[in-house]
Order: sequence, then structure tokens, then C-alpha cells
Amino acid sequence: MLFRIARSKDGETISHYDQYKVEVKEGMTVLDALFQIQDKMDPSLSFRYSCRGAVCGSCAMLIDKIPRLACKTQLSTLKRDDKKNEMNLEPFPALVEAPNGWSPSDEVLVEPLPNLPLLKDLVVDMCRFYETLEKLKLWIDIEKGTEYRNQSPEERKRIDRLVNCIMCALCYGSCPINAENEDYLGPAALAKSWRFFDDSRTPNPDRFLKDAKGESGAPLCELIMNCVRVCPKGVAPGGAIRKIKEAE
Amino acid sequence: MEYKTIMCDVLVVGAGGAGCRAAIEAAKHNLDVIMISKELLGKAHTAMAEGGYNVSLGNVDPDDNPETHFKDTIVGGNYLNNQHLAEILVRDAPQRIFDLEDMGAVFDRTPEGKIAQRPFGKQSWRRTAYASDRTGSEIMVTLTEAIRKTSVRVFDEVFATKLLVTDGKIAGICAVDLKYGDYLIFRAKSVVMATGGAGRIYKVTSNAQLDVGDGYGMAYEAGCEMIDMEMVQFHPTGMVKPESAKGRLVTEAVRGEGGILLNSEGERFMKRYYPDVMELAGRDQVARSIMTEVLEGRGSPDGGAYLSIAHLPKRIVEFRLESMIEQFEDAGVDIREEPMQVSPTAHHFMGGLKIDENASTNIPGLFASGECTGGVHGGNRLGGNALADTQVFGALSGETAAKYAKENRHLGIDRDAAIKEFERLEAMLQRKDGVSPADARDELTALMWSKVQIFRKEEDMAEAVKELRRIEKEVVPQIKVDVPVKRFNPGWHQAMEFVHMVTTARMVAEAALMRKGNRGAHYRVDADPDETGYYNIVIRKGKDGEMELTKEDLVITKITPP
Repeated sequence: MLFRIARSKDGETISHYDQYKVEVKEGMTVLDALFQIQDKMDPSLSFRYSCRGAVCGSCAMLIDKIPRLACKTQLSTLKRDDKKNEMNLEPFPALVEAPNGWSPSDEVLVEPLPNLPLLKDLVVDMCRFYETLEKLKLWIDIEKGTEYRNQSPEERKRIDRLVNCIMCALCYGSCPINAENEDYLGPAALAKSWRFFDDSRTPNPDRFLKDAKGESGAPLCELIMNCVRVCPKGVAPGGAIRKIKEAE
Repeated sequence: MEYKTIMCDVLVVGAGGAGCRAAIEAAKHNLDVIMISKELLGKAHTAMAEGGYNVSLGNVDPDDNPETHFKDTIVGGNYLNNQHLAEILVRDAPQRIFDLEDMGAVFDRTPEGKIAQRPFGKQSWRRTAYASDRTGSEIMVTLTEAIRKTSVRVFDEVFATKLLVTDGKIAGICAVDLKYGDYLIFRAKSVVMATGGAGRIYKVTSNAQLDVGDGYGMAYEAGCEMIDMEMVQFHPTGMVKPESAKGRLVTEAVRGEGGILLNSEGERFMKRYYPDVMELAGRDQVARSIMTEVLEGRGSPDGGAYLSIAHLPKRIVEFRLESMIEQFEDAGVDIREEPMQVSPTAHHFMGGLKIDENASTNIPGLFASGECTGGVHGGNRLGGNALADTQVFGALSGETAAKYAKENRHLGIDRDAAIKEFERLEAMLQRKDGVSPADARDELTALMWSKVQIFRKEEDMAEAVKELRRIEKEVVPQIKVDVPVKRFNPGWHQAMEFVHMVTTARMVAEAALMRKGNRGAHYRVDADPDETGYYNIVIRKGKDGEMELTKEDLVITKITPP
């Protein structure tokens, strides 16, 4: 299988693309292909990884113009006409502009996750994404207890999907608003705000809603829902943002 | 040789469950705390823990209590545990899970709204608290949120390579900033090691890609004592295929929720091995039972056993094992309808840095917690005790390291040793001829998988020891990186890791060779039947630079071995 991989030694912009021929074995993922390239063909290729199992969210990247986790993308699912490859994402330049010479029908295109500064090859600077969590103060203001807090299964269920977020930033990298506005806090942080607001145990829920409704928050979202389509964990951030917009 | 020096009071090396918890605790003492992490914050292996957190809350089985938790832990650990440490584990596990709740962690609930608990192997009661089958991820996410609230300075993508010791006491560490390639010295009054395990020294493992035993390697070189290194837990149920997912964890919760093991003849074979507890026998016992079926020709087509939950209500499976459904979907198997194929995978290191009741090592100022330590779990760790370990001993090590930092000053740094270390790393980049880390690693992991595995024997282990000594002498000094770049150079990272892998593998193999009988996870086909094996093996670097192994008496407080 042919791969065309974005390269950048010094960061900022993609300087060129390198082509590799990967020997495919049954059940291989894009991450396995990258390991094969690194081990056997080009030890200089940089990318992030850790768990290999779609739990840590380190390997978010753009694969055939769709933001996905490399470890969760089976090679056998690429180049097929199905839901996984036809997500109907609202386009913005990084999702549309193809490098010269790329042959979409038989060549896997791997590029860094959009909307974050490029550091090297497929590695992006996650600081801006993490800072959104700091800006919204997305943590519990601890009230020290020596007993657990009751939470009914129904209350627990309200935030069930939202707690599945693994901070991979795929939503951030797929969002057309994040693409044009660096200040926009983005889907993950806003969804987490709603998670704290809607958690029955949160001592001061209103601050989470108020901050999420701030000028860099939910009002900027146009409910495009790219985030919902790319989320590998079914968190559906767009749904939470809609609730933030509607909440009083 | 240029380097930067960074000062702090308490330095935490590693940012998984134990490291984060240690940093949070230390920061409560109005100290300057730095936590360094090899990967991005929140991406550590703790996130991959699936099944749960053992705590004797008695929410579903009211008769449970810390005493029973203690007994189960010691019996499960084949009596090799340091009983002081096990007492601390069961004593503090409840308060530490309340801490997690206070930080916002969301566990599954009973109908009355209490934390739900499920059965896990070798435990007298339903004791394991959980968040579906993504408990570790829930804990990791919560801890990173809590860290952001504190004054802890997080340096992520920074790789520690050496502990700096002055007059026998900890003074700091040498590290490399993986982002920019800078050499760094961190000077601290106390250091907490929370570097996790080393499943990656085996070809088939459930561990994250970066769990190579950095902490074991560094601590050993610095003169830290290590205990129980021969005790490697092979989790009985790892994925068998596809090839790329081989070794990936299939949580014990599958069996806890009622999953059964079948051989190729459709027989529920556990009834021949452990009829009383069946699939919920100890992890070491289930792993050996599966391997025996495979070796005797009753395995599945891809060399494992079948694990089936097709008889359970779909609703239960979908709610409590949601990640498993997803994980097997990628392999083309719908676990609600058809059985999974599973076989053992290297999972957890029971052994590690030897600590006392204050989580301190034999090096003054050096503390440790989590999987990188030894003693808590003895010869076999109960499923669910590892997450509890990270929180209990994470908090304890953070607290004691903070106290130590308040009572002690910064020590001078051995500059020559630091520069020598940076030169060693630099030489890997400059070397023209030698062995690439990818090739060296493949050789090592295959050796360990074939020679120091579930069924061990004298000649295999002797050969492994001989090979590892050779690798240490001949290959380690010849490791070369093909691309002499310092920023985000994966080949360089792997070269640094390889050195730690070799030291770790050698400790495992040497200790395994020394233990002649069967005990816990250490199982020999040629075992000496007269050896009860009631001792711990302690490893240290001798004055002459050679590896020294000694047998030490068990630490017993309450339960005397039979």
C-alpha cells in the first residue's frame, strides 16, 4: 500500500511529502504502518503514540483528509466507499487542499492535525488546546470529603457520553470555526464545561455555564457538527454546545 | 556540553496515576513541585487500565472490610507481599477513592447512588469499583484536571535518563527535552519515581508503547535496591488477532461479569483446573490453564482459548463492557454474538523499587510509588489492586517527599557525572556504525518472550541471562541513531529506552534463574518441589559494578505463610 506523508523538519508549514510503500498484513492500522516506516524505512519520521488502543488519544492526525486516530484506523477500511470515509465534513482549507500528485484512489495521505501549530512532521503543538481547559477552569473546586457522594444512576447517565472524552483534539482539528478563529475555545473544552455543569455533584455548577457562554465560547459555534462526526469516543460535543446555547 | 538547570523542591518523575497523585499531594505543602512526563500529560498507561479499583467499601456486599481485602491480597500474592505495604493499601484505598470523587471522577453507581462494585478474581466479595470498562481512563482524566488546578509545574515530553546522587543522597536527575532536544538537569530536594512498568520488554504485551522500564534502569544504576523482579504478571486474556492488536488487554471484567473460557472442543476447561473458582482463579493460574490447553492441542485456531459472553444479556454487555465491544469491532468480532480468542500477555511488574512504609527507597530523598515499586503485590497482583496502589502510594509518596523536602536542602550536583551522561546520549547520535534501536529491541523482546515466560525452565533462563549479559556488554555501547537530529527524534528516544530495557530484562532473568521453586507468577516446569520459596529476591548494583542478588526474609505483620 502506498503512503504519502507530510514532512516538516522545522515545523510551521508542511515542507514536502514523502512516499513510502508499506507491506500490509491483516489487521494493520495506520499507526502500525507508521511504525513500519519508522523502523524499516525512515527513522527520522516523527509522530506521537502511546497506547495503540484508542484510549490515550495521542495519535490524532489527518488521514485521507479526515481527522482520525491512527491507532483506530484499520488500513482495510481506507479507500472504501462507506460511512467511515464519507463523513460529509463541512470543508475548510486543510480538509480540502490536496498536495500535488496525490492519487486519492490508491495512496493513503497522512498529514498533521489541522488548527494547531506544526512542530515537526506529524507532531503538532497541543498547548493552545490544553490552554482552553485552563481558561475555562475545567476542574472541580474540591470540597474535601471523607464520604463518597451519592449520585443516582440517572444522574450519572446524564453525563455518561461526555466523560468518555480522551482529549485527543480531533474535534478541535476538525472544526471550521477553530480553523479561522484561534480564540475559539473549541468543542472539547465546551463539552467538558457542560459535563461539569450537568454533574449532580458539582458544588457550583453555574460558573461552568457562565464561562462556556462567554464570548470565545458557545456563541461562536455555528452547530456545524464536524466534531460529532469525527469523535472516536461518541462524546458528541456539538450536542453539548447546543445545550449550552439553549440553557438560561 | 551545554545544558540547562531547573530547580524545584519536589520532583516527580512520571505522570501516570501515581505520579499525578504524588504531585497533587506534594503541592499541598506550599512547595515548588515539578512533574516530568515522557509523553503528553494524560497519555500515560494508567489510562489503559480497564477493570477497576479495589476498595472494601461494602456497597454491594456489606460484610466486606479492609481485613478481608488484606487477606485476599496476601493469599493472592502467594505470601510474598510486604505486609506493611499491603496493610497501607487496604487501609487508605477508601479515602483515596473519595479523593478521586472529590476531584470529579465518575464511577458507576448502585441503584441507591453509591459507588458500584463488581467481582474480580480471587476476592472474597464484590469489591472492584469501576467506570464501565474504562476505569483507568476516568481516573487519568480526573487527575489531569486536578493537576491543572494546582501549582504543579508540568514538563511534558521530557525524558529522564539518569538519577544524580551526591554522597549517597538524591540530588536531581538528568533529562532530555524531547521537543527541543535540550539537555536538562533538574535539581530537587526530593524525587518521587512513578515511572510505571516494563511490559514492553516482552514481544507480546498489554502495555503502552512507552512502558519499557526506564525507572528500573535508572534506579538500579543509582544504587537503589529492587525487589521481586522475577515476578511478572501475564494477564490471561490478551487479544490474539489481528496481529497488530496481539497482546491488547481483554479486561478481567469480562470474566467478572460472567464470561466463560472454552477450548476448541467447546469444553469449559477451567473446571479441570480450579473447579471452585473457575474463570475467577488467580491471573497466574488462569494464564497457565489457557497455555496448557494450547500446548496440549486444544487451543483455538490462532493459538488461544475462547472467551464467551454470548450467553449474557446484551444490555449488561453494552453497559458494562462498552470498550470491549468497540475493541473487538475493529477486529471484526461482535462479542455479543461470538466468542473472543484470547491468550496470555505480559501485563504487570509486581517487582520494582524496594520501598518502606514511607514509600522511601534505600537512597535518602528518593521515594517511589505505583507499578515501578515492588512489595505491595507479592508474587501475583489481584486485578483491581493496581489502580488502588497508584492512588494510595502516590499520595503517600507525595506527602513523605514533601516532608523530606522541607527538612533538607538542595545538594550539590556531580557535574562530571551529568556531563558524562549527556556525552553518552550525544554519542548515540554521532555513532556511525552500530546497531539500530529497532533491531536491538526486536531481538530483546523475542528473547524474553521465548526464554523467561509463563512456563520457565533452567536452561532457558540460563541462556537468557547469558544473552542479556552479552547484549549489555556488546550491543548497548553500540546503539546508534541513524538521524543525528535532536528535536522529536524517535530513533534517539528508542535508543535511550533500549538501555533501560536491557537492565530491566537482566534483573528479571537473573532473579528468575535464582528462584528454583514455584511461587506466584514464577512457574518452572523443572521446579524444585522441596522449595517453598518464602523469601524475596533483592537486587542491587554491587561496589564492583556487578549485579548482586540476595534472598531476604519476608516482611510479615499478620499472616504467616502455611
